[in-house]
Amino acid sequence: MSNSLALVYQAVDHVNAQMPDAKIVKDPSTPLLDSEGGIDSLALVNLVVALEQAVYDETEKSITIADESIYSSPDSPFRTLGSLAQHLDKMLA
Amino acid sequence: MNILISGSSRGIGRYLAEHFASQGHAVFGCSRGSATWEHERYVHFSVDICDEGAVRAMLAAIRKRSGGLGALVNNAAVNPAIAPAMLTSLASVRATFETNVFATMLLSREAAKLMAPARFGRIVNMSSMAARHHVAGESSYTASKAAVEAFTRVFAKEVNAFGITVNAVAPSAVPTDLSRAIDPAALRDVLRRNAIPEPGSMEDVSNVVDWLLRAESSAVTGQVLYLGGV
Repeated sequence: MSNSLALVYQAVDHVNAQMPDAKIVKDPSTPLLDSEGGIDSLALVNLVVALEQAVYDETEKSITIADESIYSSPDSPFRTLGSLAQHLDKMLA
Repeated sequence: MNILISGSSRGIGRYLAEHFASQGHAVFGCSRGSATWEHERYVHFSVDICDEGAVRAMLAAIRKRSGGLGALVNNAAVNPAIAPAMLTSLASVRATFETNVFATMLLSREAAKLMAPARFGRIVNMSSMAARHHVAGESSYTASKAAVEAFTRVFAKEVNAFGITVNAVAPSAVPTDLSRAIDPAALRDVLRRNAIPEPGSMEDVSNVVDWLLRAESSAVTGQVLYLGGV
């Protein structure tokens, strides 16, 4: 498992503990966008915030997951947990 | 409550920071320079709030130190160009919007991230009676405060689900370095348009901010409160 995916799963644990109804399954194929059977927008925002904080705690790097690159990318990084981890990989590279 | 106030080294920001610290809140403040005052419950950050990385680092430090944030007061503002728009440089317009609008949006975004997990937050943006009086010679400042008011209303809708309220307070002219830069005769002219034609006070501002920060004020959001009967 990549370090980025581990950080994503750490954020998932945080959100699941905070929002028991979210029940986000830790799998790269888990959809995130509400329109594609993913999690609701509240849980998604919490996941992104938890991920940014996990990255900071781990690396001391302060990042914004929803940076400008997501608008130029043909595929949203918020499709699945796996695509989110790939996006994070690029940000931390 | 943990409260962050921008522009806390002087004027209304400093008054509010001292006010909240004396009430027992944990107060974080920031300004470009170093701290101009001290209090056991006050922590100062020397930060350029137009610098995204510096703002994120400040909020990360607040999270590490206190776990979360209850309230943000976006107070820092500049008014560098009191001049007709036809004689105002674009650099000056940009500088006004950088501090008054973009920094307000940036701080609000990052603060809301700290507030969301607790399902509670209070964001208060400082506006100005200029946004309603449309005074000649204040085009940049007035436009920036109108933008702050519009942002207030939109952001209130976006973060309501997280228990965060977003409001703006537009004081009447309160004696500060910012208002002292305005021609006194012109200021008197503008004040005459208000139901209360005299300058306001710091206490007027803290009174309404106190009220907005209360847990019981959860239904008050997306509002702009003008003081002085504007």
